[in-house]
Amino acid sequence: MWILESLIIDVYQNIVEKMIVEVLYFAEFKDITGKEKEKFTLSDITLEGLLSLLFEKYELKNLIWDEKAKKIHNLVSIIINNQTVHEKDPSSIDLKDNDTIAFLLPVSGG
Amino acid sequence: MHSNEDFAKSGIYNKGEIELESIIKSIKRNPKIKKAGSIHTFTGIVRDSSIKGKPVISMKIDAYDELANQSITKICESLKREKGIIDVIIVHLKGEFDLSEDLVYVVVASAHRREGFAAISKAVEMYKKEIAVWKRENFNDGTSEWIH
Repeated sequence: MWILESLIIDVYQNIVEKMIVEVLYFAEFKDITGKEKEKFTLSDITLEGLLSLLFEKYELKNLIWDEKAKKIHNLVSIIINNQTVHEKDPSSIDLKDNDTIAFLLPVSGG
Repeated sequence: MHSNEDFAKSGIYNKGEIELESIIKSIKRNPKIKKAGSIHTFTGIVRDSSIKGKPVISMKIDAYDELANQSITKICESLKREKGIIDVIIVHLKGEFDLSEDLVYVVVASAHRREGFAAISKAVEMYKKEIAVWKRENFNDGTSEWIH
């Protein structure tokens, strides 16, 4: 039985360790990162893990994070694979391998 | 990106990829154009001052093409369901723009002028709120600001 359990854990860890997602940057995000998009390898299956990496690497926390509410700012739209995600608690948002994620501030067409 | 050789389609284009004239030509090639009595156009251009009155010298437009194209299609489809509206094309350009350069085109063909004017106004209000496009105003003092 323990062999099966350890096999399942190995497979799970393998999947988690190899999870690669892509982040698209627009407007301020593009100016701050200097990039249009970037791939991240995640060991956490939730959006929380991706945010930790982003905040460690770039000065993006003020744009995305509502420190008082301990969640993503209400004004920030979270887009995963071109679909809006309405949940704002990053620990409740699961990511999958090859997901494409974008954080959007309110729009301002010309 | 889109090809403007045949029919000009609604969506996000790089600056210089499409002109108003080709959009009007496309609208006129709609098989239902004979039902139209008017073609209305709106062109959004770069103004020399911000909403707060700060002098603007140029503008940058960024867009999330896939998402913006989805929203533009929805807006056009919604307006085309309205009585008297024959066709609607919305084109938003992206890139770096100087003062007075074109940023947006909205072209509406309508049976009568009143519904055409109303549809133009609705289209402008809708795209400003709904499409994933952002503008950065570059000021004459060397600073710049993304507008939200």
